[in-house]
Amino acid sequence: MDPSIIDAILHHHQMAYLLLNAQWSILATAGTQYIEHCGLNLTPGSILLDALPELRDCITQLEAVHNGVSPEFTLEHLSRTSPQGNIVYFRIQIQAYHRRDDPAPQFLALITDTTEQSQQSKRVAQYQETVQQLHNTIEQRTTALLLANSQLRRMDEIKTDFITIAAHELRNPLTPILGYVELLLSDEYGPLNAEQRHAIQATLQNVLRLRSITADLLDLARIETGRIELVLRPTDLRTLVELQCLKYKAQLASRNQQLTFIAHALPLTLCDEHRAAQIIGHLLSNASKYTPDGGAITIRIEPGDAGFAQVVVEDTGMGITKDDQQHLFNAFFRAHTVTTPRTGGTGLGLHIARLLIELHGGQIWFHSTPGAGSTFYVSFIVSDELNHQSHDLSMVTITQ
Amino acid sequence: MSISKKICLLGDSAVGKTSLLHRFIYQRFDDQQQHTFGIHVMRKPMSISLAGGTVEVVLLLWDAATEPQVCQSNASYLRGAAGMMLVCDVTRPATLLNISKHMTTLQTAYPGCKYIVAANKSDGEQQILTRGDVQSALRHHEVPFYMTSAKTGYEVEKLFQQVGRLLVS
Repeated sequence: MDPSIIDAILHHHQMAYLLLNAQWSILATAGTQYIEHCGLNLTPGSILLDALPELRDCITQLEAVHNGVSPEFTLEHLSRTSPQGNIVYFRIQIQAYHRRDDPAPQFLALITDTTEQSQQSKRVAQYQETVQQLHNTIEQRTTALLLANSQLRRMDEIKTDFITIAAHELRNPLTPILGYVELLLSDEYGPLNAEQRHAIQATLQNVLRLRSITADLLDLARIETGRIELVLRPTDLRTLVELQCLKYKAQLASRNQQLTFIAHALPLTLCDEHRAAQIIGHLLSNASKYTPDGGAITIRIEPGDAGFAQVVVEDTGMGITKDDQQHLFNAFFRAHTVTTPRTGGTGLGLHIARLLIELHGGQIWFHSTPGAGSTFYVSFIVSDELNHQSHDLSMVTITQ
Repeated sequence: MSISKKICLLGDSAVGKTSLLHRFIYQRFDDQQQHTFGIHVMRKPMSISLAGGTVEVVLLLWDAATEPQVCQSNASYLRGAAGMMLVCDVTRPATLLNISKHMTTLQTAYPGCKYIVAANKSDGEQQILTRGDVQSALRHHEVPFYMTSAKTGYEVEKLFQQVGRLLVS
């Protein structure tokens, strides 16, 4: 190879070649000017082990190369301080060199400036250390979060247990209270005058309200802990909704609210009759609560998205503010518009309705305009049963 | 806020679908489990441990007297399912064949679903199918499976943990 090319390579890679004899004395050099900044005295005639005393600790390895046991020996991370005060790193590789014209053993030593490489390795090591520190921090935080999460879960379980016990304890005395109130109202203990009857009627209403609250609390605890089981069967949604309308008829009539039921022809839907009735009851009860006396409520059953039928409850009440809309299905949430005793409640109705409709495989959603009423939708999966209902579209006014 | 996922159980009659659910949810086993009528839906909140932390998921478990071929005849049962658990009985090889036979149809009809197989009743001398038999029968479907026993609880928790992981991953 042209010596100028070799020189260029040596210059580019900041390296030097040394030719050594068996006593590690330097016979010839090339490119030493490119590693002079390493502070090494590598003149012909000098001894390599004097210039690099670190090699004296590696005599065994050098002898292995000398004896032909190892093909080469490399010593990394050697360093010197340059006259400018910078630390310079370099590497030396030694291997046997056989000359055709001289049988005496000779060796080639290649010295390479690895300062940049070493600095990069150092930087990589620093980055790795930083990454490791970050990893440790994340792990510590994850552990702390897991612990906090576990504590929260435990507290949630305690809360649910408390609700269950409290609701049971509140409900148990209600049965005899209700029994005696009904006996009083049926004049079993003698005739009541108008004032007494009014007082007992008020007691009855509040006992029923308390029973409804405890039922909601127990339902919530059952659903949250997975102690609820629905049995879905092909169900005639029309009959189910009609029964709920009749159930709430008296409540709506007492406030002169008009209830209209519009039924489209529908196939059977997959419902747990008791729980589906509870969902629709919640919606009707809510619609009545938030609709003023003399207002109108419409309930419709109609086809929904593909494979679904839906129940729609539309009121002409106060509507729901934008702020309240996003929290409406949260447990214990009560809209800010609830200011009168008439609209009292636990804030569980819609939350339970959402959980129950989710178990049905359906959805619940709503549209509302503050001041102009709300429309709630619940969807149920249409059954594959072949005995489709064949009712035509009908409209019935339940109360007026 | 947890996420809710619907999982449908499928498999021949009396393979132990309801028993698996009762073992998982109520930690109990009824030797005289009655035949299931209607569709039973249960709810189970779970914490799923993933590499990045814990995810809260609610499994909505649908159980019916339905067989694997229901995908054509009972679409309402499977509508909206995020996962399907196919159950066979290791004392009745035909129940595994049925799963294997209908798996491709299910995977084609519901490509977005996650699938898992429970080889149930892996607890007694009457066991005929081995882990190798189940693996061999399912080799073309790339579906995870567990040898389970609703009676002893063997691998039941792991099975549902895996269901949760499949659904949130």
